[in-house]
Amino acid sequence: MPLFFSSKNITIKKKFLLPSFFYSIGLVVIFLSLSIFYNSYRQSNNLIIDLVEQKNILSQFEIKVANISQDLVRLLYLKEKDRDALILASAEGLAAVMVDFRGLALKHDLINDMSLAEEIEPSIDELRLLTVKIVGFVLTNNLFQALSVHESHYVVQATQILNFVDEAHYGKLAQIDSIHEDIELQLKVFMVILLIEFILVFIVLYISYVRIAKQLVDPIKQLQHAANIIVKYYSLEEEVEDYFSYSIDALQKIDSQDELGLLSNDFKKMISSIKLGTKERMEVNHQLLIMNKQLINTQGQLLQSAKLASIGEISAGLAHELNQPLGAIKLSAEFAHELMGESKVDDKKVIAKLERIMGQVDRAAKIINHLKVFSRQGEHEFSQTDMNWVVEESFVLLAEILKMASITLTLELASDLPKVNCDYIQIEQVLTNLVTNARDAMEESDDKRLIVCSYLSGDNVCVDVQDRGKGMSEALVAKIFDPFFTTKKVGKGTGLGMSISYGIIQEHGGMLLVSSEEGQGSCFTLSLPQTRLN
Amino acid sequence: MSKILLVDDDEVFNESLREYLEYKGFTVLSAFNGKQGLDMITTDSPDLVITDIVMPEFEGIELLTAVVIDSVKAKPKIIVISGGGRIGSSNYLSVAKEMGADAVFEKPLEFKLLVEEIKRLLA
Repeated sequence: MPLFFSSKNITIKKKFLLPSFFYSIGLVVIFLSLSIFYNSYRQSNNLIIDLVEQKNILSQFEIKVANISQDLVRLLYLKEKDRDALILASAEGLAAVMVDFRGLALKHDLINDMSLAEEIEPSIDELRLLTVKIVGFVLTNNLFQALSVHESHYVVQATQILNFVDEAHYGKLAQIDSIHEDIELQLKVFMVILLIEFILVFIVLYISYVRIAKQLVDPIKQLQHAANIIVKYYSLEEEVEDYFSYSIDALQKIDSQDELGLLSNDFKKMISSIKLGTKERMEVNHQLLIMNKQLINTQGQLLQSAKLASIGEISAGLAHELNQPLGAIKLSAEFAHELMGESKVDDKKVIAKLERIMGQVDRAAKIINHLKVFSRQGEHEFSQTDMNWVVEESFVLLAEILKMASITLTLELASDLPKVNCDYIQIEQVLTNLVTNARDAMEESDDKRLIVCSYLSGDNVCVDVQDRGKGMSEALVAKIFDPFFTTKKVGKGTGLGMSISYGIIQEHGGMLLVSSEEGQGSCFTLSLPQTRLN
Repeated sequence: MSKILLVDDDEVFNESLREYLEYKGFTVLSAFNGKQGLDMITTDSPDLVITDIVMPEFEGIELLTAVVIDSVKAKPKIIVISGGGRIGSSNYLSVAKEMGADAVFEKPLEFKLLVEEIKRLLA
C-alpha cells in the first residue's frame, strides 16, 4: 500500500509530520462523534422529562375526575339536609377542579400532544356540562332527573374520559420506554463507530510508522554493514580494492533521497577517499618495509664491519700472542730434533719437548678458536652467561695488546655474580672496543694502568673499564656515543665503535655509561640486568 | 763458563729457551720482566742478555736503554728478540739495533742461528 507520506523522496522530518497530522484528524473525528452523540442523548432526555410530566398531569387529571364523580354520587344519594351543605361546597369545588383542569390543559397544551388535548377537551366540556346539569337538577330538587342524567350520560361520559386518559397514560409510558430503547441503540452504534474509528487510526498510524521505520533502519543497517566491512578488513592490511568495493556495493542498496540517502552519498565519497589514501599508505608502507629490510641488512653489515675493525685493532697483539707459542713450538721441535740426533737418545727428554709442543699448539689453537668465534657473522644467541667469564675470555686477545702498549691490567672480579642473559660475543665486542679505546687514551699517559672490575649494583651486573688516560671534556662526553664521532686521527678510527657498543648494550636492556675528568682518565660502565630467578 | 740472562715474560718460551741453551752448555738465568732483568744485570753480571721487547711494566726497549745509556758498568752483550710490535716487529728491531743491540731476531727464529750468534758474541 503506497502511502504518499512514506515516499522515499521526502525528508525524515516530513515523514514524521504527516502521520502526526493524520493522528490529529482522527482525534477530531472521534471528538465530533462524541459531541453528536451527546446532543442526541440530551434531546432524548428532555423528551423523556416532558413525557413524564404529561404522564403525571394525566394521572392528576384522572384522580380529579374520579373525585368529582365521587362527589356527584354523594350529592345524589345523601339526605337533603346534608346535601345542601355539600352542594355548595361541591359546586364550588367542581368548578375549581374544572378551572384547574382547563388551566393545566391549556398551560401544557398537554404539552406537545395537541391531538390528545383536542380529543379530550370536548369530552371534558361535555362532562362539565353534564355535571352542571346534574347539579342544577339537584339544586331544583329534581332529583329523579339528576339521577337519570347521571346514570345515562354522566357515568358513560366519565368512563369514556377515564379510559381515554388511561390509554394516553399508557401511551406516554410506552413512548418513554421506546425513547430509552432508542438511546441504548444509539449508544451501541456510537460505541461501534468509535471503535472502528480507533482501529482505523491505529492501523493507518501503525502501517505508516512501520514503513517509516523500515526506511530509516534499512539504510542505517547498510551504513553499519559498509562501516563494518572497512573496520574488519582495514586491520588486515591486505588488498584494499576488494573490500572497499564490497563496502560501496552495500551502500548502493540505499536509494532514498532523504537525509540518510545524502549521508550514504557522503559515506561513499568518504570510502573512495579512504581507498585512495589507503592505497598510497600501503605503497609507502611497502617501501618502508623494503627500506627497513635494507636498513637491518646494513645494520648487520655495520656490526660485522665494526667487529672486523676491532679485530684489526687487536691483530698486531694477536700476531704477537700467536708468535709466543709458535716460538716455543719451533724451539722445542728443534731441540727434540737435536736430541734425536744424539748417539744415545734420551726418550724422556724428547717426550718432554713433544709434550711442550702439544701444549703450545693447544695454546695457539685456543687463540685462533677464540678469534673464529669472535668474528663469526650472523645471528648470535643469547644465553645465561657469567659476566666474569666473558671478561676473562675477552682478555685472551686483549691482554696482549695491553702488554704491547705497556699497560698494566688489574682485574677485580667480584665473586658470586648472578648470571646475565646476553650474547657474549657482542659483549666481548663492546669490551674490546672499550679496552682498545682506553689503550689509545693512555698512549701519552705516564700512569699506564687499566682497571677492569665487575660488581653487582642493585639488580644490575656492572663492568667498569677505567683508564688513567687523558680523559674527556664535558663536550666530548656528550658526543662520545654519537655515530661517526671520533677523536682519533684520520684512518685510525671509524667513529662507530662507541655508538655500536651503545646500541648493543641497549639491545641487551642495559646501559653504557661514562664518567670522565680531563687529565684524570675515563671510566666506562657497562651495566646489564641480572637474570631474575623465578 | 759464560752466563746468559734470559728476559721474557712468556714463561713457556723462557723455560724452553733456557733448557735449550743449557743443553748447548751455557749457564742460563731467567727473568720474567724488564725490571727483574735490569736488577739481575746489576747483581749477577751476565755476559750476555737475551731480551724480549714486548713485556708488561718495563719492556725490552727500556731495558736496552737502561743498559746502554744508564750507568751499568760492565755492559753485557745484548740480543733482542721480538714476536711483533705495535706497528711491526721489524720496525722495533731496527730501533733496537740503532739503540745498541748486538743482534736482533724475530720470532719464530732459527735457534741454531741464535746459538751461533751467542757463540760469536761471547767468543
